[in-house]
Amino acid sequence: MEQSDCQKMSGREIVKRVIADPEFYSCIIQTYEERLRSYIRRLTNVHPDEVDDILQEVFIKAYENINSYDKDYQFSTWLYRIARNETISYWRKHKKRFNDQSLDIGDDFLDTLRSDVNLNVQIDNQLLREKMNLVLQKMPIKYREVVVLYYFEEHNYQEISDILKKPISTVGTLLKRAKQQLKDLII
Amino acid sequence: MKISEQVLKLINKKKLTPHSKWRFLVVDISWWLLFVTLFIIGSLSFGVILFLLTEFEWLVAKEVAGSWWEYLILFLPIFWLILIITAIVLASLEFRQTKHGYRHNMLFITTVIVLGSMVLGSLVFFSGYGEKTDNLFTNNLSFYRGKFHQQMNLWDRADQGLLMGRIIEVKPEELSLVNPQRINWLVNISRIDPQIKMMLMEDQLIKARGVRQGNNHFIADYIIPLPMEEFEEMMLEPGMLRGPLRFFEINPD
Repeated sequence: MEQSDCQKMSGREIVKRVIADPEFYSCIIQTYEERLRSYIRRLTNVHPDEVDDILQEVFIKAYENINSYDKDYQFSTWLYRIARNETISYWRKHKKRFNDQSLDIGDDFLDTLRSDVNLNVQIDNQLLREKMNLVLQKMPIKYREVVVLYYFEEHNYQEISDILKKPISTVGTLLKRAKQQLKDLII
Repeated sequence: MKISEQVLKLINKKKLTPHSKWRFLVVDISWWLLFVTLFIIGSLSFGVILFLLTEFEWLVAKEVAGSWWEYLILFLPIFWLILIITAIVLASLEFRQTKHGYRHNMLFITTVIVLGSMVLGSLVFFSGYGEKTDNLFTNNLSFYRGKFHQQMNLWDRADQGLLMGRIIEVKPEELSLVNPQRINWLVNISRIDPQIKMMLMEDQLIKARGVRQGNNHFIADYIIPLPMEEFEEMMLEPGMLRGPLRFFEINPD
């Protein structure tokens, strides 16, 4: 089955197909693998070798709990929630081992960031990129995860609320504080 | 090996299968049941608190309390306050565990639960179940301090001119009663309204205001007989009382 076919299916259809035909699950994995891989890496600076371990756990968990999928969410949102929980859990157990992996911060993100945080100082993108990496590595996880979901994974507030299981107002507050932290630490 | 292959291999090797949907349904229902239970406990507590506060003798308490602190201790229904606060806090936390509960912030959830408890609790009070619950707890929990013990705390203060007890014998100008501490008192009732005197009988509970005279003598200025029907359900047989008045039969001489 083509990945595009998987993407066109609704969450409910996916659940039915997976239960009826476990081999179909490989289509789901292939569809979401890269997105979740980059999300996990951005969230916790995990070494690339360990990302696959976490990813494997995520997909196993998703398979076992597929009947808990709620049609009120998009299937991708539900997967992201599992990925987030597994990643945070792994990170808490192995905090001290994490090294300084840099994030793939593109120019688009930097331009968005400049306008979002009203960064009025003149600073070139390369320097900004380096500063951003340092800032994000030091940022508390509760702010980092909303920054990653909003700026890197391009989720909206509702989706972030569903992934993190927090009210939308809380997501807004966390993002606001995260942006302020980014601005304070960059300047 | 691609990750999809690894995952499928592991699924086949460990013979993993999706958890039944009923398992998730049972968990969801459990969270809701727990929430509803806590909500009911909170509402019941509010109903009983209303009952206790409306039955409380505020003016008498103000007279006997030596300080604001003592005044608070006399009237605050501590047991129910602790219960209602605990129930509301736990209910708020439980609600957040329901499927979509996380979408609301804690302040909103707690406010709705508090208001809901007040509405349902008011119904509990007005329907008489506040009082019934207080009686039930008084009869069955030795540590419980409800309406009866509130009255006892206020009225068992002979030095301050307040006396409460069960009548043992009635004569034209005096009566004998035994108080909660199982001390016999001789009460002069010559100043009492004759109509009230006519209502007095053995085994009746009364409250008396007056003046202490000597060790176990009391001159009553007025007497309040407590309605017998309040204590009917506590009667084991004529002349015997159980529940809150159990202390009268403890360690018989």
